[in-house]
Amino acid sequence: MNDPLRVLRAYFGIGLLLCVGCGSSGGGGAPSSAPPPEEPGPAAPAGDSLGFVFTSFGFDYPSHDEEPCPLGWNLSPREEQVQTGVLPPDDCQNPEANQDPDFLTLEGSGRIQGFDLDGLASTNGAPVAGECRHQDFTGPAGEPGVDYQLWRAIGCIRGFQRGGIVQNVQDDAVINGEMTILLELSDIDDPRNDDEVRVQIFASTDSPPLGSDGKVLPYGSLDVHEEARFHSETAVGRLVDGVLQAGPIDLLLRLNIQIVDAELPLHDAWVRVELLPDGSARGQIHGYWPVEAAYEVFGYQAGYAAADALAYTCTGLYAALKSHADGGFDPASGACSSLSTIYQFTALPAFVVK
Amino acid sequence: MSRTIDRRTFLRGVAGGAAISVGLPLLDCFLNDSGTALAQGGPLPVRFGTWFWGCGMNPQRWIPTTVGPDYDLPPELASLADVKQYVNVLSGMNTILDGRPNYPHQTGIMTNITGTVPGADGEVSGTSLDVLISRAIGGGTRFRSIEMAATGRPTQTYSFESAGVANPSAVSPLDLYSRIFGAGFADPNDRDFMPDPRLVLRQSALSAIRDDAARLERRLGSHDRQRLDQYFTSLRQLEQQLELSLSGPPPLDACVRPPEPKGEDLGTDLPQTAKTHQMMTELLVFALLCDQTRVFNMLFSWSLSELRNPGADISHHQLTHDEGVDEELGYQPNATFFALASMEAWAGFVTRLASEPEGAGTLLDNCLVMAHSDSSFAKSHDVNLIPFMTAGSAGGRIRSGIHVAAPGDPTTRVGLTMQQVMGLPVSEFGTRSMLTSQPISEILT
Amino acid sequence: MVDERFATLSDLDLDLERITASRVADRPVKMRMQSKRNRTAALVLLFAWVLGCGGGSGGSATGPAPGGPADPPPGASPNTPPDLLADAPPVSPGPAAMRRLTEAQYRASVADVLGEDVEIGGRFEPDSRRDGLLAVGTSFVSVTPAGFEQYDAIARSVAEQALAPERRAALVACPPASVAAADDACASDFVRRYGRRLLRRSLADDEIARGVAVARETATALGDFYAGLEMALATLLLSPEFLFRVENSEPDPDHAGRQRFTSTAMASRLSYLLWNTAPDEDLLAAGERGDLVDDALLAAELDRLLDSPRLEDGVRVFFSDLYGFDQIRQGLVRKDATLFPAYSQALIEDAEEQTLRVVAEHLVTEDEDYRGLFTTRRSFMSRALGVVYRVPVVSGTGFEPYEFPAGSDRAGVLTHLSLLALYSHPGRSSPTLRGKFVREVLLCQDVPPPPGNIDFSMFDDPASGTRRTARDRLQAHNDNPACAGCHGLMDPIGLGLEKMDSMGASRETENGAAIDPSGQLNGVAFEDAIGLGEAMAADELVGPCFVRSFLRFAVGREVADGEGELLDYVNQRLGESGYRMRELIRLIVMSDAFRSTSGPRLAVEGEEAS
Repeated sequence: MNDPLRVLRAYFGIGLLLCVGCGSSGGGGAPSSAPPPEEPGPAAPAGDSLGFVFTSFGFDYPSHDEEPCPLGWNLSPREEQVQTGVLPPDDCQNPEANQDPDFLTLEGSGRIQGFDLDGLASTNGAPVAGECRHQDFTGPAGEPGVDYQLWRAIGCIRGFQRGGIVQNVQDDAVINGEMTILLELSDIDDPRNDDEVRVQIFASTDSPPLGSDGKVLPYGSLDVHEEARFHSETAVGRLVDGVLQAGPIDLLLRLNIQIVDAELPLHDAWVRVELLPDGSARGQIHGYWPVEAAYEVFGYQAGYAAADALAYTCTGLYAALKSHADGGFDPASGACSSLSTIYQFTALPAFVVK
Repeated sequence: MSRTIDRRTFLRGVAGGAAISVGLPLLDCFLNDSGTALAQGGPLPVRFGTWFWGCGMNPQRWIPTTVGPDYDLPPELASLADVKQYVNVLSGMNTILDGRPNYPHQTGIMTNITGTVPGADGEVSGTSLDVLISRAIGGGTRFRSIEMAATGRPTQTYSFESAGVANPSAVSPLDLYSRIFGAGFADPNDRDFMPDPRLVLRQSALSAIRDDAARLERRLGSHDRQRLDQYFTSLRQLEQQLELSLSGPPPLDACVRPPEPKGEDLGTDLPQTAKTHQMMTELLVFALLCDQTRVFNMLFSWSLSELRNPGADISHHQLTHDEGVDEELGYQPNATFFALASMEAWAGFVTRLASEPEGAGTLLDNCLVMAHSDSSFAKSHDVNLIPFMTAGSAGGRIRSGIHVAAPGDPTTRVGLTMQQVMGLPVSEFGTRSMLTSQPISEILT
Repeated sequence: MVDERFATLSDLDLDLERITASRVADRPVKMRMQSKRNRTAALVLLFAWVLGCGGGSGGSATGPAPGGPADPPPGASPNTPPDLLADAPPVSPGPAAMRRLTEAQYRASVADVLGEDVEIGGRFEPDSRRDGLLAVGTSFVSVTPAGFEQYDAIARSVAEQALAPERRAALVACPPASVAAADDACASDFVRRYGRRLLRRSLADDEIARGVAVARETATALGDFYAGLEMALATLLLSPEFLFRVENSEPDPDHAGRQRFTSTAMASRLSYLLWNTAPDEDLLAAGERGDLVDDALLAAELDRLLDSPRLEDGVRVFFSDLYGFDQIRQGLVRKDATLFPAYSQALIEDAEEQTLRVVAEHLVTEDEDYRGLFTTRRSFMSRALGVVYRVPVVSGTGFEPYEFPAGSDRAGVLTHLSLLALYSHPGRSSPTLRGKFVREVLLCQDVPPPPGNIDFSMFDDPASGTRRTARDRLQAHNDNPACAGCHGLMDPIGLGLEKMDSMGASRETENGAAIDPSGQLNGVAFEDAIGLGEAMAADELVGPCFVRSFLRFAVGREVADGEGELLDYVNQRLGESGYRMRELIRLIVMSDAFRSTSGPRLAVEGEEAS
């Protein structure tokens, strides 16, 4: 865990004070966003609630002035066989058995909207005490300090690019029930500007209602996951001109996508929600994803099939994830165990049923 | 041709081998004076088949833009140009997962054929459609169904008796030939006809209804007597159907034993698979004309399509994942090549059945073939917009040459329609959100 | 996409007979109005015709009154007095005809007699609507060859399941002498028992003997006793007296020259009307004892049936028939997928269930005034419905009670998705179809079909902008005297529902223009859908139409000329007590319209059974 008392700073210069424990009042028992008339929630906080269901969810993509992967993409095992004549072994279950010195990562600069999770403008050249060496991205207008180490590890893998397989599969997963995610904002007095709004994220095993066009229909009712560990902590944040920023919270999502049945934990995450005039929302979840949890998905479970389809080697991926970790600093070893990760989402109004 | 009935054989059949006497009137009602069966014969059999190809298509290039008859042919259906009057395109239907994972290349096909989304990887989620149908109509023939895989692999089959029992595929033309036309083959026109004693008994029971109903008629007013007359007319029609069936099978004039194919190479490179498919189709045509089976399953490529170009190291399935979508074209040209080749093979299959005369029409007229795949856009294993087609008119029970768009509906509507057209007494098919009671009425006659 | 030409045409609402052809097809045009000025006069004439010149209500038309002291407490059912209709006017009843079991009646009858777990697959011959009701159609249809083939396949499948090894012990009381041979005594017991339940009467000895002969022949030929019973059972299920309700009549000893239904026939009449299934053992026994031609004993059996939860089945079938919900189950209610992606067969089936649940709760559970159905805010929701109504639904599966809040734009069944979507075009709402439904089905008035010589040029393409709302487009009718008369009967009602689109979802605008949902019903102006519901509840035609429709449903034919005074009488009584379903059933069932007949219906020249 990062030091929870560190003062954080948002990428666009608005100071955000970390407030541990502020969200504790939201755990359980809060009413659905529009409770049935017979039973008003017993401990309803003042103000309105807005519920949402995610309609897309996936990694956010930095933009670059220069070619981010000047040496090209990583190769799939089979492509490597074509080049070298040797088929790399299936080492996905034992990724440290071999080495892939040719594995390419993204090391250049890039711009992306996001949070400065560690409150530091980190550079590879000058790591400070208490952090793992890493190179931050900058915000859209050049603001320093945006942490996104996961992308450095996977940014030169073809299947993770915009429009690639991973984006397709994740977008499908959030609407077909494989990875349903719910978002609830509560205690809203003014939907444009409000100093104190609560936010909570839930996994769900319900499928969002879909129209005959295959798109999510708004105003479905969806149950939050029956296990409380899939309900995030409650974050409290400010709503400024329809944009809410809140954090940090720990959250746990569930995914059961194709051959992968796993959990997706993010710790010390910040949430950004932009409320749009048509009632929909979009935003980001930006937090630390443990290396082992990330590798569980793409290595242990998706395995050689994914390595082939997305074009990487398990050995190379695992090593890149470990070497780029910037969260969960362990003072004893000086090593980190998780990667800063920016997920982006879009969402439609929904009734969150608890 | 001899079509005699052996009285002793019939008695054994009726009594299950036990020494039970059968009243003579029972026999007399289907034998003429000389002890031979009535000459006319029943109607030609109606057959059901499936035709499967793997890795789907590109929906935006495959789904016709117009619905109804005389639909347009987008690029990936262009090969149907000469046969589209026999083919229905059924588009827009989805595999509704209800939160179950989409197991790649498995969830779609399993749901197509069983109506149930599998709950675990590798799970066969029930009895497949072809088996449900063969249990109802396949009893009277030598083979209850015939499975064929043009890929040369016996384990590639989508015919399941149950979750644990798969019907293996014949994998070579020679294998198929010896199974059907080898030592066990007998010209069906020479075989002794054994009428089903139950048909005789049903006839007898219907006449009992007639007696009771005649008493009723005396109590009715003129309006109801007219209606009861219509009831009698309908009853009489059923009796005539039974009589036809009792008079033996129709002469299978078109049945000949085809020449034995030579031993052939097998494989999944496209020219080889296409050739294997063509030869199997040829044998299938004669197997159907000789009424050796009434249900068949043809697998052109399996859901992880191994089709490839000769000399290429990468298969259709791998291409669907590895190949990027060409930004100018808007699709994957190399993967799509195989989707096009699959549609060409399907068009060839339909053409062959449509060119074979049978009775007053063609073999295809007396068939219902359901073509389908495991996914739409295979790159992301999309199990929505699953492509379905049918060919043939099932002896007049189904209309053809129509595109039906059923956006968002469960794919089980196709399976329900197939069962109902083949005469199964079912009113619904599928489970959970895939449960449907709505057949595709646009193509029913 | 909707074909533009089709959209334009359909907007004219000239194709209403596509949906309701059978409602109007065989009726003469009752009126033709030329201008607004004489519309009122024509309406008065029309009402006079509808109400049989009885003049009518007299009493207050203020809609569902809150329960007065005379009202029974909700849900409770007082006994039916044997002399309930002592002061009723005399009735000259209509003719009798046999009625084909509907699919639901077939299914329920088999389930009741042979077991609920017997599966009945296959597609039944569709029921046929006549004079607006399937119940009337059942007394005209016969069995086609294709239908007979289906009945045969279903009968064999049912018989096979019913006598499957694991079930036969429950069904067959006697152990056969040998399972491999015929046993006439045991077969006779079986045929007697199940023949009686399935044909709803005791079988004569020679009928039993024929059934036993069928069983014997099969059992002997196949060496299987149960195969014999199977054949005998399948034969019973194909009998015209199972497939049709043949209701015998006899001279009425109390009224010389009149025919009354026999006590046994009354058992079936009661059971299918109130429970939509074959009579149970008690009712059949009462019928065969002769009880059901006795006022007091009939009243007692009626009370037993009214007190059963199965009454809901009968009431739901009546409303499903009245509202035309069979079109939903047949998959005939479709919406343009591009315009209405939220629409699906599953949704409209849920919508049907919602409406029938509201009807059943209001009329059966709560025993409320029928007219309150147009204003009640109580409803039920499923998750699929919640998406379109935009309300939260807690239960993950099934339905849960829901009450539209005060101030909601929904109240009453006219604002339910089911009726809104059913009486609309695939791409557009239709004030005309909705208004026509209200006029014909809920007010029992005829609307003549549109004339053949329509000038379509007077309607603007909505895309061109000058007629953006339905109100604007329908204004063209008002400007044309050939259209104004009839459209004036329908459109002002339907316009009140315009804030709900073709699938019933709420909207504020159409083609960018604000929707004005005001309208009027029989001279009563209203502001919106809520106001329309209130106007319906207060309208003096609504209750009498309910009574008239129920009589037609109960007797399976049009109202006879000699039954007009009875309708007036029933309306007068219900007008005093509130239009409650159980009371209406009592008054109809105890009346001579239900219990007697003018005799068998005669064939009409040139009309063939279909």
